[in-house]
Amino acid sequence: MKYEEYALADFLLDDDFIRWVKNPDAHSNLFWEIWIAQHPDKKPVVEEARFIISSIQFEVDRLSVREVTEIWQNLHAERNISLHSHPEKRKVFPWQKMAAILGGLIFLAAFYFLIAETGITNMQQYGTAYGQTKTILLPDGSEVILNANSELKHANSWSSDSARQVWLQGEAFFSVTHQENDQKFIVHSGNIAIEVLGTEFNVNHRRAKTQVVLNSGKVRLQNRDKHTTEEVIMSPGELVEIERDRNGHIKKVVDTEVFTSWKENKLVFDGTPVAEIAQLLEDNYGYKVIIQDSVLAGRQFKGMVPADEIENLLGQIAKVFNVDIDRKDKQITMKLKSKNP
Amino acid sequence: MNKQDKRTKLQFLNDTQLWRTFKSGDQQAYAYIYQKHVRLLFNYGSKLSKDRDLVKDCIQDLFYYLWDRREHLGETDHISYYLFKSLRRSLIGKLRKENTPDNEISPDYNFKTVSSCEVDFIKNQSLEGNHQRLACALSKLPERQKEAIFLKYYHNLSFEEIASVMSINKRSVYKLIYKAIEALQKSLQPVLLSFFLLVFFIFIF
Repeated sequence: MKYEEYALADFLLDDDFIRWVKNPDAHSNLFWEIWIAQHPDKKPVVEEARFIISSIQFEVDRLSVREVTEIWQNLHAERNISLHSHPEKRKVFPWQKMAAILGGLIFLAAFYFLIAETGITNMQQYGTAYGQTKTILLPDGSEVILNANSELKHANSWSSDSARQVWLQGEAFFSVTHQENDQKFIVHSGNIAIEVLGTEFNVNHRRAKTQVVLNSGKVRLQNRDKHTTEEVIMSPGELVEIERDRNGHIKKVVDTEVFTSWKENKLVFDGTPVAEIAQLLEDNYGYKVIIQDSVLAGRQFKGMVPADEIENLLGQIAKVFNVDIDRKDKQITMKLKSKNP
Repeated sequence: MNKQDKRTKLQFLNDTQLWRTFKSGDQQAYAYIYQKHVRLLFNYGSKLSKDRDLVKDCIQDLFYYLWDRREHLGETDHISYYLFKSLRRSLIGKLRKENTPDNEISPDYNFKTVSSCEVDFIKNQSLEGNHQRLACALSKLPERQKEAIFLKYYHNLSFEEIASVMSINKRSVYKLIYKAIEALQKSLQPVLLSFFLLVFFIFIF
């Protein structure tokens, strides 16, 4: 096969190879795993090509949900085409509606059960590695930006009869399109269900804690834990945090920029405890962080770095708190500088 | 077939089929193509012009034209390529000033790379140092190379398609991409490069 004779540049210019690096699927993953195992001398070249291809990143220029809808509406100001064609609205009797909702709930429950129990194969799955982000387009046109070390799943095909649903582990920013039939959009994170119609919000679900920050629109959170269902309604600019082992929730008004700047590849810290920064380094970048002084863990850091400049971040922390930071491979150790000379 | 089922089925069509369905006057297919490509188009268009409104206008014009002229459009097996080509042509047309021949217009390039070149690389031999070196080299590439790289590695366009989108010949595309990846490769081997230079100089003297 041709690949045996490939040099670095050949891999970099091969369309199939590029497709595998940027959009791996089970088939191509299997092929390359086997091929590399059969040609171990080629492994360094393949790895270098992968590295280069996946490192080619440009800043993304985004349209807001409102702008997407606006352009469409301008197009059809004088025409009958609708973005989300729907059947003519008919009068529905209340009991028909109830039956439909009940049916829908049973369907959802069965569907969710099926996913959890059988690992159904009709699911579309996306994942990111440490230090990687990915933008995903959902079947309804909604956009999800998946942060590092995270996973998103959804059913392969969506109908307008039941709610649009995704399952999230980790962190993602959602731009959800509003459907004309007011079809709901639900994000499942652990025991939490985050329900919206059309809006922009950030979900961070790590270490048994779910944090939602709302940019625009309205969100309804449901915590189905311990046989009770606690409901929280959110308004733009609010943050809600729910911990698995704690009752109730925390709600506060925040600067949403601080929590969503990661999608512009910036890390913004506004009085963040060093312990929390350590968790971020572990969750998003795969480091192991040891803070030797508990006093240091509680100190609050204010600053900003590009998301791929961890050295820069550590340098700033070292300077501000007068700390020795030792980095060996993926292990970081932080220690207050001793006062003795 | 009711409308909900039809919408679901659209997801499973390949580009050729989807395009044909739209061309035959199917409004849902048209809406689906819009949803699938509008963000990609804006992302690409924004690399060719800083003017956000201009890019949006061009996208709007493009989709208006597509529906209006659907019966006269050609076939395609790669919708994003087709749309990119049309968008670029439309943007260039709008950027043109009077009396400038078409082949002299270049886009008002606006590529921004993710990282800066300011961090001290030399001591940093780690993986992250390599990321930074590469990002720095990427930011320094000539704009046309960036565009070719963008189309190749972000949207996986073939050499023919890139040539068609950028209105240049295939050989020029090869040159742009080769030069770019050469610069990127080089950025990962600063130590090796200086070693070779050293040997080279010792050799001459």
